[in-house]
Amino acid sequence: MQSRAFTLSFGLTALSVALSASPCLAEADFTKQIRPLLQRKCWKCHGPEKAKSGFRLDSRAAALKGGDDGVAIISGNSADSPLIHLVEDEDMPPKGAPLTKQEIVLLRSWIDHGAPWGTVAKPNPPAGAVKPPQAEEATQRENAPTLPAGELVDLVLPPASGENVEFARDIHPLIQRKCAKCHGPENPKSRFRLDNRASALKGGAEGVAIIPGDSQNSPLIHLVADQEMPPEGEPLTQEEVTLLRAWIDQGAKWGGVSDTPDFAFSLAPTRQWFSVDGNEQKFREHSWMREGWTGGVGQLTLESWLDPDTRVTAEGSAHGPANLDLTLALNRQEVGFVRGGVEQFRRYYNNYGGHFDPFAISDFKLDQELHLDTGCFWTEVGLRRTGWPEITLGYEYRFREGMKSTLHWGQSTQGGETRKIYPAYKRIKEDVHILRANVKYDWAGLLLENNFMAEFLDLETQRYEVSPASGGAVPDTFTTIEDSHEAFQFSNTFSLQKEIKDWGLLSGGYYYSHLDADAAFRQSTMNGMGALVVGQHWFAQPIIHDWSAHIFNLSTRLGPWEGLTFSGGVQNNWERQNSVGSSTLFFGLPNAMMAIPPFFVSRVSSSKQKVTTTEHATLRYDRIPHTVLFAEAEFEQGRIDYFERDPGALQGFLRDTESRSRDQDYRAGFTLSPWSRVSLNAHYRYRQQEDDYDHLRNEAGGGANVGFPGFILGRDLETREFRTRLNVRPTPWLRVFLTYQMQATDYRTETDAVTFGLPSDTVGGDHLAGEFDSRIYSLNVVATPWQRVALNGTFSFHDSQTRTANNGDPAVEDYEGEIYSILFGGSYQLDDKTDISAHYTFSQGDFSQGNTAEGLPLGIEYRQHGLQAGIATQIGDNLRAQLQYQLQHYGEPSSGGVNDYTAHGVFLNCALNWK
Amino acid sequence: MNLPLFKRAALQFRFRKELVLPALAVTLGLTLTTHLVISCAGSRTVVVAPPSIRGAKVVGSKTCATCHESISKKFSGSVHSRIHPVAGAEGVNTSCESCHGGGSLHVEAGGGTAFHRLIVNPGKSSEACFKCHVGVHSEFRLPSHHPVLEKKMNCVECHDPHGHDIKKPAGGLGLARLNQSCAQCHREQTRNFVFEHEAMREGCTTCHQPHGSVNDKLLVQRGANLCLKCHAQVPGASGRLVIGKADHSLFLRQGNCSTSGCHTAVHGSNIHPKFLY
Repeated sequence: MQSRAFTLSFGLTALSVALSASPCLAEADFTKQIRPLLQRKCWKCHGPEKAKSGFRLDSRAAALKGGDDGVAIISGNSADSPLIHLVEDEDMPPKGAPLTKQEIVLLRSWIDHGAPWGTVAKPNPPAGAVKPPQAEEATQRENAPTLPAGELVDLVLPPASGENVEFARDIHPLIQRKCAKCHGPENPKSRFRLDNRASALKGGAEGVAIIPGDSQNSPLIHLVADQEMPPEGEPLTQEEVTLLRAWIDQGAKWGGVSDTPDFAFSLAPTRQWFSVDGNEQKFREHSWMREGWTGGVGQLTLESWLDPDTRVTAEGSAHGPANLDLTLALNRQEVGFVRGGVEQFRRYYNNYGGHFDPFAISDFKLDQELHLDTGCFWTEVGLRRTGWPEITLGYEYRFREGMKSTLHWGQSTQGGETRKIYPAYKRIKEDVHILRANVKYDWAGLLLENNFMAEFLDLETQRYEVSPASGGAVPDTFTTIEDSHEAFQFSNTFSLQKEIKDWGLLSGGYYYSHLDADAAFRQSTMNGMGALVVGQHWFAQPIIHDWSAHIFNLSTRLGPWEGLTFSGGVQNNWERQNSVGSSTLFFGLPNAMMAIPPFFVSRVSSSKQKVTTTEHATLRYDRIPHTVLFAEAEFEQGRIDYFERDPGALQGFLRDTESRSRDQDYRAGFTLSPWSRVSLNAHYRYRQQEDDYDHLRNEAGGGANVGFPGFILGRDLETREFRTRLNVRPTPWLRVFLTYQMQATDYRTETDAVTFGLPSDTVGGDHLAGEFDSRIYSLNVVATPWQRVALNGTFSFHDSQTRTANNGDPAVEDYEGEIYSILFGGSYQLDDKTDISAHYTFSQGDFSQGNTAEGLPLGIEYRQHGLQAGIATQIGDNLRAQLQYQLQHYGEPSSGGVNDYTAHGVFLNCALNWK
Repeated sequence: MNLPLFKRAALQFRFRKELVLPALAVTLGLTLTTHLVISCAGSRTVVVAPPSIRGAKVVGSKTCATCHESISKKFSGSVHSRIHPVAGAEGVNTSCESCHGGGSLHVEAGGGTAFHRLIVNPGKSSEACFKCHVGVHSEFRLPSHHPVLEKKMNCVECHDPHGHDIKKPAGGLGLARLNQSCAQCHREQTRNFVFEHEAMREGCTTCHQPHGSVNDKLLVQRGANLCLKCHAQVPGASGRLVIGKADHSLFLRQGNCSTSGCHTAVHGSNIHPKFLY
C-alpha cells in the first residue's frame, strides 16, 4: 500500500515538474483557478485591504501596473515575470505554505495566456443579448492569447434587467447583504456610503460610483461585475448585477425604504416612592438613594440627522436631587465632532459610629445628614478626516463636595473602660480642572500618538474627631484637622506602534510627568461649643512637594509561529519626590498666648527616589483542537532611596533608608471546549514579593530610634491562587456555570530586636506576621425552559480567614467568616406586549468577633433580603409602561440593631418613543 | 529575606495539601478531555454563551477587524482573547462577540446608532461582564461596594477589556502606573505626602477590595489584623503585642490602629512620620 502511494506521489510530482518546464501549457481558468489562488495566497498583503510594496493583485490593472519594485507580471511572458520567480523561490508568500508546483504551473499558464481577468470580451453586446456560458468561455479562450501585454480589458457587463425594479424589494436587501458591512454610516470604507440615496450618489474618495440612468458608465457596476467588490465573501450573481444595472438605469430611486430616520426621540419619566422603617441613613448608604418621593427621567435619547453626514445625539438620565448624566454630541463625517456632558451622583453615609454592647450608651449618632456629591462637566472637540491626524482637545471640570463618614472614631469612657466608637466625619471640597490635547496619526503604517494633560487640583478637607469624652451622648471636645492641597501637574505620553509583519507588532512609549504642590495643615482643639480650648494646636505651612516621573516602555506581540503568540515587554519607571514644610507643634491655648512646653518649631522634609524595572511575557497557543493554552510571567526589580526628617517632634526623627524589592508573578492555565456545549478554564498563579530595608540612619532624639518606622528590615509575601470555571449547556435552553477560586497568602516580616529590659522585649528576626486564606464557590444557572419564561439564578459561598501574629493578645482576634449570596430572577411573557418579572436577592455574612472583654469587636454580622416584582406593558406603538414593587430588609446584629431597616418602594416608569 | 529551605518546603506543603483535590480533578479532567479532543479534532473554538441579540448571528472577529482595526491589532495579547462564543464556522476567531453578542445585524447596518446599536456594549451596562464574572457580580451586592449595579459606574471605567489602554489594570505594561485607576477619582488619598504610607507603593488593593466588601470603606479586613499582616513584630512575652518597638496592647483594647484615633492619616501625613495626623 505504501509502495503504491509512493509511486503515485512520485508520478504526480514528476508530472508537475514536467508540466512546469513545458513551454506549451493548457490555459488556466481565471474564475475557478486563478482568482481563488490569488485570494488565498496573495490578497492578505496585496489585496483590497493592504497593498504591501504598493502592489495589488485584486484587479488586472493594478496587477499589471506592478508596485514599488517594478512590474511583477509581464502579460504573455511568465518566464520573465518576477512574480513567477518569487513564488518559485518561495520568497512569496512570506508566511504560510508556499505555492505548490501545480499552482505555479497554473499561474504561469494564466500569465502566458495574457493574464485575462474575469470574462474577457470585445465591446459590450447590446442589452439583452446574453451569451450562453459556453459561448463566453469560448470567447475568452479565443481572445486571451491575442491580447497585447499590459492592455486593460473591458468586461462583458451582464445586461440590465428589463423588469421594473423595486428598491425595497430588489436592491435594499442586496445592499444590506453585500455592501453595508463596509459602506454603512459608521467609518465607511473609501468614504463611500450606501445607506441613503444622497450619500450613494455623492460617491466617495474614488469619485462618483453611481450615475443615475447610466449603469454602463457607473463604476459600481464594473466593480461588482469584475468581482472586485465585495472584497470578501460571495460575489454578486449575474442576476443581481442585472438588477443593479436596471435600478441605476431606472434612476437609482430610493423608494419604499426610509433612509436613516431624520429624528428619533425617547423619554422615560420615572417616579418612585420609598418608605423606610429603621435606620434611614443606612438605607441611603446601601441603595445610593433617598427615601420619600423622588422622580426624574430614567432615560433620554435623542438622535437627529441634520443631513446624511451630520448627526446630533443626546443621551442621559436624571433622578432625585443630585443624580444627573447627560451627553450631547454633534458628529459630522469627514470633519469631526463636538461633544460635551455633565455627570453627577450623590453618595450617602451612615451617621452611626461603632458599637460596644457593654456600654450604657452603646451606639453614638451624629446629628448630620452625611452625603457627598461627585460630578464633572466635560467638553471636547475632535478632528476626524481620512488621511489627517486625529486631533482631540478637551476640558474637564471635576468636583466633590459634601461630608462623608470616616472610621477615625472618637473615644467614649464608661465604667473605667475606654472604647473608640464615637462617629467621625470629614468635609470635602475638591475642584479639578483638566485640559487634554491628544493627537494620533497613522504615518505609513506607523501609529504615532501623543496625549498631553494638564491638571489643576484644589482640595480642602476638614476632619472632625472627638477628643476625650465623658461617656455622654454629646462629646466634650472636638479636634478639627484641616488639610489643604493645591497642585499643578502636567503629563505627556508619547507612544508609537508599528506592525512590522502581519504577525508582529512593536510598540514603545515615553511618559513624563511633573507636579508642584502647596499644602497646609492645621489642627485645633475645641469644646462642644466650638471655642478653642487648651490642647494640641498644630499647624504647618507651607508644605511644598516637587515630584516628577519618567517611564519608558517597549512592548511587542509576535506570532510567526502557527498558533503561537508571544507578547511581552519591558518598562522602566523613575520617580523622584522632594517635600519640605515648616511645622509648629503647640500645646496650650493660642488665643491667650498660653503655651505649655515643650513647644516645637520644626522643618519636616523627605525625599524619595524610586527606580523600578518590569519585564512581562505572555505565551498563548491555540492550535490544540478546542484549546487555548497560556502562560504569563512578570518580574519587577525596584530600588527606593528615601530620606525622612522631623527634627522638632517630641522624639525627633531622622531616617535614611535604602530599600530593594523583587517581585515575581507566574500564571499558567488553559481554556478548553471539547464540545460546543462545554467549556472549562483554569489557571494557577504564584506570586512572590520580597522587600529588604537597609536603614543607613535611623535616629531619634539624637540617638538610635526606638520606635516606628525603622523597625522593619524585610518583608516577604507569597500568594498562590487557583481558579477554575466550568460552563455547560446541556440543552439549548439551559446554561450552568460553576466557578471555584482559592487564594492563600503568607505575610512574613523581619524586624529589629527590642531590648528595653521590659517583658515585651523580643529577639527580633523573621516571623510569619499574617496568613490569608480564601475560597469562593459560585453556581449560576440560566434557563429558558419555555419560550415565554426566562429564569436566572446565582449562588455563591465565600469563606476567608485572616490570622495574624497577635502573640496571644486577647484584644486582637482572627478575622474569619463566611458570606452566602443568592440571586434569583425570572420573567414571564404574558403576551406580545406584556411581561411580568420578579427578582430575589439574599446575602448573609458572619465575621462577628467575641473579643468584647479585652478589645473592641469590629467584625460584622449581617443579613439582607431584596425583592423586586413588576409588570411592563406596551401601550400603543410609542409607549411602554413599567410598574414595580421593591422590598429591602437589612439586619445587623453586630451593631446592636441600630443599622437595621426595612424599606418598601414603588417604582413607575413610562418610556415614550417618537420617530 | 532568605528563609531556610525546610521552612519554605513546609510552607509549600501546607498549601499543596489544600490543592490536592482540585489539582487531581483538573489533571483527570484534562487527561480525559485531551484524549477526547485529540480523537475528534475539528474546530479550534472555545466557547462561552455570547450575549443574546434577537436575530443576530456570529460573524467572527475578522469581520469586526475591518472597522475596529486598532482594537483588533493588540487584542490577541489580552486575557479576553482566550475565549470564544459558539462559532458560526469552524476555526472562526470569534472573541469579540463573546462579549458584544452576534454581530451580523450590526455589520449589515454598517454600524449602530443611538437607537439601534444592534450590539451589546458592556461599557454602557456591565451585565455582559457578569455573565462570566459571576463572583464579582455577587461582590457588588455586598454592603460596601462601588456603585456599578446602581449604574453610576461601569466596569470599563477601571478595567480595559481589550488590554491596550495604558492607564488601566488589564493593560499590563503599557505605561500603566500604580494606583492610577483609583487616583482618577480618589485624588485625596493618592496625593503626595511628606511622609507616605509604604503600603501605597504596593497598591490600593493591599487594603481595599475594589468591587465590594462586607467591611466599611471596602476594607479587606477590619480590626488590627489589617495592619498586623505587615506590621507585627517578632513576639516577645505572650500576651504583649509589640509594634514598632512599642507595646500596643493597651491601645488595641480601644479599637484598631486607625479607628482607635491614633494612626488616622493612613494614606500619608504632611506633619507626622507615624501618621498620627
